[in-house]
Amino acid sequence: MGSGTERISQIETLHREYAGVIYDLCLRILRDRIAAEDAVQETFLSAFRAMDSFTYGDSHLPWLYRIGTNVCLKMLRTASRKGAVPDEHIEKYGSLKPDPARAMHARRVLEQLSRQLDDRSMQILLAHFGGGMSQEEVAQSLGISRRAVVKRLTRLRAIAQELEDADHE
Amino acid sequence: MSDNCPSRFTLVRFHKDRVTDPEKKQIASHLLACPACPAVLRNICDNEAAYEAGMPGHNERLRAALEREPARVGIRRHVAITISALAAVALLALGAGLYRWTQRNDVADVAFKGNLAVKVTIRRGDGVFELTDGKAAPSDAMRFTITTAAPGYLRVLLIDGAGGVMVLYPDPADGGDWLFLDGPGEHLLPGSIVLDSARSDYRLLVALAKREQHLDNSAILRAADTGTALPDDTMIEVVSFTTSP
Ligand SMILES: [Zn+2]
Repeated sequence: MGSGTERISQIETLHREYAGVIYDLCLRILRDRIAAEDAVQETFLSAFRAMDSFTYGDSHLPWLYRIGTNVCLKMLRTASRKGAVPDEHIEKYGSLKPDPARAMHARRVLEQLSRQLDDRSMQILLAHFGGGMSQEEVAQSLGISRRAVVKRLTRLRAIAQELEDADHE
Repeated sequence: MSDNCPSRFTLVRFHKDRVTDPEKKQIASHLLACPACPAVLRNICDNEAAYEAGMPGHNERLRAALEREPARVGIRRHVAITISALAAVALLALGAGLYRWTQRNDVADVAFKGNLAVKVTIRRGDGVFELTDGKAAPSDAMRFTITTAAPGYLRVLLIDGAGGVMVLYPDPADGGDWLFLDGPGEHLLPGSIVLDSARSDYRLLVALAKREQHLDNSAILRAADTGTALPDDTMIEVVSFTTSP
């Protein structure tokens, strides 16, 4: 665990190493550069608070992805309540062919879903589409069975298809 | 991307050199042959570079936020996946394992009032016993069994002698404010807690709410200290104990 200063420097080391790829994750979910930067900061702050839940021997990357996904989920829920992010801010960063209209659509779909779905379904959806994790990787990151992941993704297939199209067309 | 392509997350791990040697070889040769994956990898690097371009500023902002964080009780949390065979037996014996992590379910508005009981089980060396005399040792692995009369939303706080507040459940890494207990009866909470500090007085505050409401830790603390009621018949149970070597 270490002292406060030690813990701070541990988090700063993780931040230097992984913030860029956590930004990639957050950008793909939030589709907004400023919001994604805020989400990265919040992720490492949450990681600091949750350091006790980090089990020795685990890899930091999936752990940070899990926290980052939860931070983004919280932000989607807040935005969906406020009707926040102006459309012109939503961009299609993090995908291969820039298309702001589709990016906006994907973000809106996620906001709506965040209101309707339970935490677990959203975590699976965001880890899969935002984090670009395979079903197996989602299962490992969340500590659940692959079957559970497949089951939820199947149930959400129509939605999933829409997100996938938004990402690839 | 084809079915044979590594996931984006795998490419991230590859980029951060967090793959095994065989994986590394496999991905490297895939990248040479695949028309799609190099662009994905480039995109990951571009996004990383975009964040890192603002890096001294991002670091300073994080440092300032970290320094505002209150000092915390040192605990080691062992997550459910790593529970020992012994604990697994205890789990079966208790007939628990009832929790689900979905937190948005509606809880039937019946029979919520009633008792909330907390049992603390300690594993010390090879022995397992119940904390009854309020005395624990710093290396004890503590587990918590919550008995409720109805389903509900649970939060467990640990308050140390200096007033530091720490959320034990739900696991902060999972986000969310509450852990859903999906039925009446005994619930053995996942994982165990080991306290690091040598000597301190602790209070465990267990709050059970009927619905997933917004409730600050400070409100729970205040209710425990002053006996004021919390909204919606939210129940609180307090367990006090001392650790000394
Ligand atoms: Zn490929």
